[in-house]
Amino acid sequence: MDALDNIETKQVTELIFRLCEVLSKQNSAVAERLAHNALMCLSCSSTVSTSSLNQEEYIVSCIRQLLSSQSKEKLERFEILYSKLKESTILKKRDLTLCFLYHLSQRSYVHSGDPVLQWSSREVDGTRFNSGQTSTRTSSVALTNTQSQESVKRIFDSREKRKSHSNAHKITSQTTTTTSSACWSKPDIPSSSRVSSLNIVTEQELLQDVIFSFQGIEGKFLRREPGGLGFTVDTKAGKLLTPSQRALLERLIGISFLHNQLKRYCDENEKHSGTIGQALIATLTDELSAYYKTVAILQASASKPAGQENSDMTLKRALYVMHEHQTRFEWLAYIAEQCRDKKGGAITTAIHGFLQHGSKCAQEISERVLKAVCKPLYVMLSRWLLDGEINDPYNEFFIEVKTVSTAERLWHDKYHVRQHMVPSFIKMSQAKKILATGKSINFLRQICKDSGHLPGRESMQKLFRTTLADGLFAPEQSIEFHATLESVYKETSLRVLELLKNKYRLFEHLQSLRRYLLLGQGDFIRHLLDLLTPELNKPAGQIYIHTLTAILESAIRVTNAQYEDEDTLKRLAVFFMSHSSGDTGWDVFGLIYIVDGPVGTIFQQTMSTYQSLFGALWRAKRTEFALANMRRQQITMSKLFKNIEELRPVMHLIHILTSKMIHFLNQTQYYFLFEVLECSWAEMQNQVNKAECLDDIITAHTCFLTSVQRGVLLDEDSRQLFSHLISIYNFVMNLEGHQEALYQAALEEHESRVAYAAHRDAANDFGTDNEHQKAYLERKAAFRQFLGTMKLKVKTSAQTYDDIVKKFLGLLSRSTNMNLRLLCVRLTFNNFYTTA
Amino acid sequence: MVSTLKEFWKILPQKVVFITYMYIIGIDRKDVFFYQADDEHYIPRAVLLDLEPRVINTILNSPYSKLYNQENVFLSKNGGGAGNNWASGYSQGEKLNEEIFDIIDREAEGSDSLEGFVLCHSIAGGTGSGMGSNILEKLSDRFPKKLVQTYSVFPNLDEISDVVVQPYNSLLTLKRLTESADSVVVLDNTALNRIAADRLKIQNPTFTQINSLVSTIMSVSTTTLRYPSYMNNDLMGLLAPLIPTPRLHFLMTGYTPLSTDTDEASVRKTTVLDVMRRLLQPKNMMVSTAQDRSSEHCFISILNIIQGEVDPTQVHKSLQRIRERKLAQFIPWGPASIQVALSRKSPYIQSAHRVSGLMLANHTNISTLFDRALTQYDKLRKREAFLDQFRKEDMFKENLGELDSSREVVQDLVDEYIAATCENYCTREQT
Repeated sequence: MDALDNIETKQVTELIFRLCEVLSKQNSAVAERLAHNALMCLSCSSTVSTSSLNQEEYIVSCIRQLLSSQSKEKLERFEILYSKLKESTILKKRDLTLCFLYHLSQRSYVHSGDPVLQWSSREVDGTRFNSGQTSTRTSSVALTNTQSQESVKRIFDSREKRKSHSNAHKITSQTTTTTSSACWSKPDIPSSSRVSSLNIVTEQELLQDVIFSFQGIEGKFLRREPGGLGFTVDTKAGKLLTPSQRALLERLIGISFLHNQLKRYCDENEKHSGTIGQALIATLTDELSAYYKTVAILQASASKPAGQENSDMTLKRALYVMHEHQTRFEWLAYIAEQCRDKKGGAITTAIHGFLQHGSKCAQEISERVLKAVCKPLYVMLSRWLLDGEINDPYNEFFIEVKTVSTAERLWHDKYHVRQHMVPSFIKMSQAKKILATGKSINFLRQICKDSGHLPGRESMQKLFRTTLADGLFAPEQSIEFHATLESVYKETSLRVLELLKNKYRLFEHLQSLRRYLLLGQGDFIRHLLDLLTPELNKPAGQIYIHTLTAILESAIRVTNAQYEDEDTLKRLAVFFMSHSSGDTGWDVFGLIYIVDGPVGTIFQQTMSTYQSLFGALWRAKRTEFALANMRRQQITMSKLFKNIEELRPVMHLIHILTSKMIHFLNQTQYYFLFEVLECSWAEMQNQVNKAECLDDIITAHTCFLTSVQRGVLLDEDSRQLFSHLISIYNFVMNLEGHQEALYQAALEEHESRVAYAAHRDAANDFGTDNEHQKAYLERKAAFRQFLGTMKLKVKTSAQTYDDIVKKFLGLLSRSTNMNLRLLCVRLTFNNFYTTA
Repeated sequence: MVSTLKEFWKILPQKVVFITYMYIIGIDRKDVFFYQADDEHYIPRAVLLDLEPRVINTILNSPYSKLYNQENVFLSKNGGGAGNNWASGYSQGEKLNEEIFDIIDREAEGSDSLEGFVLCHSIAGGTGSGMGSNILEKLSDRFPKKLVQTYSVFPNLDEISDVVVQPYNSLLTLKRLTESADSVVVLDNTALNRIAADRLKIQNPTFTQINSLVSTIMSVSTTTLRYPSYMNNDLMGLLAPLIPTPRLHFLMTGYTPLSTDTDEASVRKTTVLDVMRRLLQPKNMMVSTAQDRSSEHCFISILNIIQGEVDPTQVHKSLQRIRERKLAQFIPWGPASIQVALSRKSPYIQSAHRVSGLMLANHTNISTLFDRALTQYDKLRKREAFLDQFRKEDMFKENLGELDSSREVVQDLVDEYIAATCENYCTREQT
């Protein structure tokens, strides 16, 4: 009882220690642990509980209830003890003590064994578990508190590491993971020193340190992490802290870490990020200043006038006050981390991802940030859609401008979608439409020199005036935006199409190209061939472009081409490819059609294709023309040399061979016309009529050319076929040579016979002239011999020709291209080649 | 330009069936049959020739008279005609040769690029056959490199002709058509009258009605020349694939739809296949040949000219169907197929039919026509009938060798056509 007298003067802690010693049956190690727990419990309850007298009764009744459920003995004992306690005046806060004891018993109650020891270990688990739980509630990433912090840190640390090659992250991660439990597993620390140091550190001091750290300033206990952004508890000063203080500090400095991170992000990116980046930083700065405001309030309430015994602010309260900022900061830091090294549209995409987040907080924060970030984008977008202008000094917009060499390339090359800058809330198809709309405006303004009023602008202008940037991504508002975009896109495209179709005579140009470059104007082409033949038979080096131009003009003058529009005729010109030695005019000649202005956008890039198509078709026409000339000569010959009987067998062979060739050429050309040109043309017309924008027309036209190219065997797969075709053409030319030789020989023979007959008639009166007759007969024999060799030549030619055609047909029939099999059917319509 | 063209074709064939009347047209690449006069009017590059003034005077008194260049109308001074006698026509032609060729030469020189001549005439009468034959010979002598195409009207064999020497006239003309013409479009009066009666339900067809058929054929067969497109835009290009060897140049024609203008419009859209199938039916042919399915006769070549709104992309499908169903029999000695040309319809000529088709075909069957002419000639010749009129003329004064040689030529032609039905036609003449 003597001891009890001294209790008043002694510290509560000492009492607890003694109590613990008793409870632990003099085992110092256990006692120390118990004391620690008790102290923590006490300090905890001191902040939370509020005393009242009624509560004592309530707790007592609770205890009674509890004990009565166990045993009567215990209850009696409690009654005795409680009455003694009531009488005693030493304990001032009786209710709290009881409360403590009650909670103590309740916790250990469930378990067997030493109740107190059990409790202590449970408590440790409990705190960790609880803290884990709170973090799962706030963090949606489903990480525990430590883990989530760690992950943020890890991202950050890895960067740090890259930058400074320091091992800091090891230290930080070690500290964060181990601090909470470290203290428990250090039984070697003398208990007295701990207890004494605990007494030194007050909540107030710590709070001040924490507030400093909130602003990124080091304090007594909280030190900057070496090489890192966060704070750690100073190792020396940290020894003075109780584990609970430590834990609280750990949690609080998490906020400091996030603050530092955000701050640093702002500082780092302020200078070298574009407008969208600036918008992001502005939002972060806003958040930071709200945070500073809270910190200021915290500071104010922490430093209450010294007279007051207890300031209201405690570490736990600070934690509570800052909690909201902490979650916000977590998200902001996360967002900022995602936006690191990104700019412009990529930033919006990164932020937009958070909008779909399950966490309300994340949604709210990301929406706020996104709204801010979209503002500059919205301005750029409106300028682009309304005026086709791009004001994007930092290359943030998802449409980029390049410089183009010619006006024709504007549509193709000047504007592009920057894929990585397209915000994720704008689909690629929409981005393309946005691109097309602005491009169309530029096309109208710059290429068509059309300064007229653009249709559909009003609705767009109104939209941009009335709605804010969130119209871009918020589902409800974006419907309106996209609808307007769609209509503006359509109307602008339509305007371009209208201009092209009406003012710039798109269809007329297509027709002209087909007429002249794809040889649709048959009479003109035929006549041109007629006039050009003597010129083009010369070696390429001896041909002059002005001669050919003159021929072109005269061909126009005498055919239906003269009724063609003057503009079209002006565009038609002779083209001359570079030639190598041995080339004749045929190898280098070509027609071109000059297209400039707006329609040039469609046609100019395809001119080389037209050239090759012209080449192929021209070649076929030339062969057809040669055959027609041969036929004409045959007709003439059959009339002229009616009397040269010997000529007939050879001529018959040539007739048959020629007619085979004519059939081949004609059917091939019918195929070119109907299966290739007409079908592709019909398809293109269909597509062009359906076209909604210039791109559709360009695509349709390119498709047309590709399909014609494939049709006339100019594509990659048909190389073999085309070379066969060329060899057939060459064969025709070869036969033309034979026939020409035959014609000359027959003509000479004919003339000599006529001369001989005349001579004989004249000499009739004087008798026959032997010498003349001999010469005549010799001549005749030579002619016969010539005919013999010629007949042989033609016969072998016919044989070889049939072989080539059969080979060609074989290739065609094995082709995977349906159309080519059709050509095969055409060529052997009466099964001549298949049966033979 | 085209409006006058319509008038031109309208009046042109009205006279064709008149045996005595003859027509020569130069074909140029530009403005195929016309040239432009000072007053922007288009004038057909045509020469009108006759040995008696009756028919041509009706033209000159008609509203169309202004159409023609008066300088190009040639009438024989004596105005007596040829009296349906080939020999008379031929010898008158010989005498008037220079005057006629003055006109023709002038026209030829007036064209930028003359491709050939078209002669419209009848083979049975006196002027068209006799003078026509003479002109044919002279044309091929003077312009050996120009094409000569004729639209030749063959006599109606269903009725008894008042021209008794018709078989002689025909035979003599056929020789010239074989040797001097490059392409002969056979217009068979027998078939035309039969079509008028059977298809158009006209019992006694007038010349106007028959001629409207003929004018259609002439007009459509030249349509690819007048509306040039990718192919068939000159006469040679048109004829070369049709005529394999120079002598097999007699073309028959078919046309669809053969009905009067009052016929109701077709129920469904006419397809390319419809037109092509109809054109292969003998009833639509304008030549009355013996249709013997068992015979070896076959097509040497076919060109279908289809006018109106058809889908060009359907051409191939139609060809394939015809091939599958073996609707047309072709020669065995060379590749042959149906060519299809699509052409615009003249915007100036109203027609009840949206789609129409003309077939130009080279068929070995045409030889039956010549065979018939030979038979008729032989009948007459055996009796030595009506030869006095011929003997009056210089050509036949000494002997009738010309008749014999003509028979020989025509027989050769028949033989060649028959040979063309066989596989060994290629090796013909290889002795």
